[in-house]
Amino acid sequence: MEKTAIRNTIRHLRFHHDEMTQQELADRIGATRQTIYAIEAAKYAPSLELAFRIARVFGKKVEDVFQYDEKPIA
Amino acid sequence: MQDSYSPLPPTPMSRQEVYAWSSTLSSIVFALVYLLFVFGIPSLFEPIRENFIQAVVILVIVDVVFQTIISIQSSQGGRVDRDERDVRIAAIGFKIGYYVFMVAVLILIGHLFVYGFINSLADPVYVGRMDAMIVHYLVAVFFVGTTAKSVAQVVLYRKDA
Repeated sequence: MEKTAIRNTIRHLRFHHDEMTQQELADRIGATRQTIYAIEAAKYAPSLELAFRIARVFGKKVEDVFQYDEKPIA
Repeated sequence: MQDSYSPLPPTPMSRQEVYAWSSTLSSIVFALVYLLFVFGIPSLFEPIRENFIQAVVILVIVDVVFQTIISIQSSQGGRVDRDERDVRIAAIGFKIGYYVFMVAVLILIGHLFVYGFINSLADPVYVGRMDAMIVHYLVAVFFVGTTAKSVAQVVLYRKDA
């Protein structure tokens, strides 16, 4: 899939949570490791529900984990 | 916060992607086998003509066994093997497969209408011979749609990898 406009800090947060692996995060939110990889690489924009689940794992708000690369509307 | 870590390492294929690959390969193989069976076996394949049906049956068995092994492995792992991304990729694959299927059906209808009409004017017996060919064309169209669906899924999975 194309690059999304949603950026994230999951990789940074994983590193600061005892170097949590992609698989560990995937197991905790009920997703596959490939999906975590795709989200981190900004190749896949998760659903709102999955975004909330990821944020909860790190004890953060959704907007602290995901940022929208807003482009000016012409 | 910008991610400044080293590039992400590639991930191995998920089970759903393995399914997509095996579905693509089996669609192509079945389509080729069917087309060879319907439209004639070239002289190159003449030596295996007698065992043709056996080869098809073996292909079906191998495919079923392969798919079953993947299913059993995925259920034993205890991990999620299908999530919302797989569902979305499957949906896009089905959408593309459906478009290809509809285009193929329209081409088929146009072909049948034009050639059937023209040939029936010249040869009224032709209409009676058309039925069997329609079935073969429909099966071919089915394979084209199925293959387009699984190829689209594989492409989407590989884009993310």
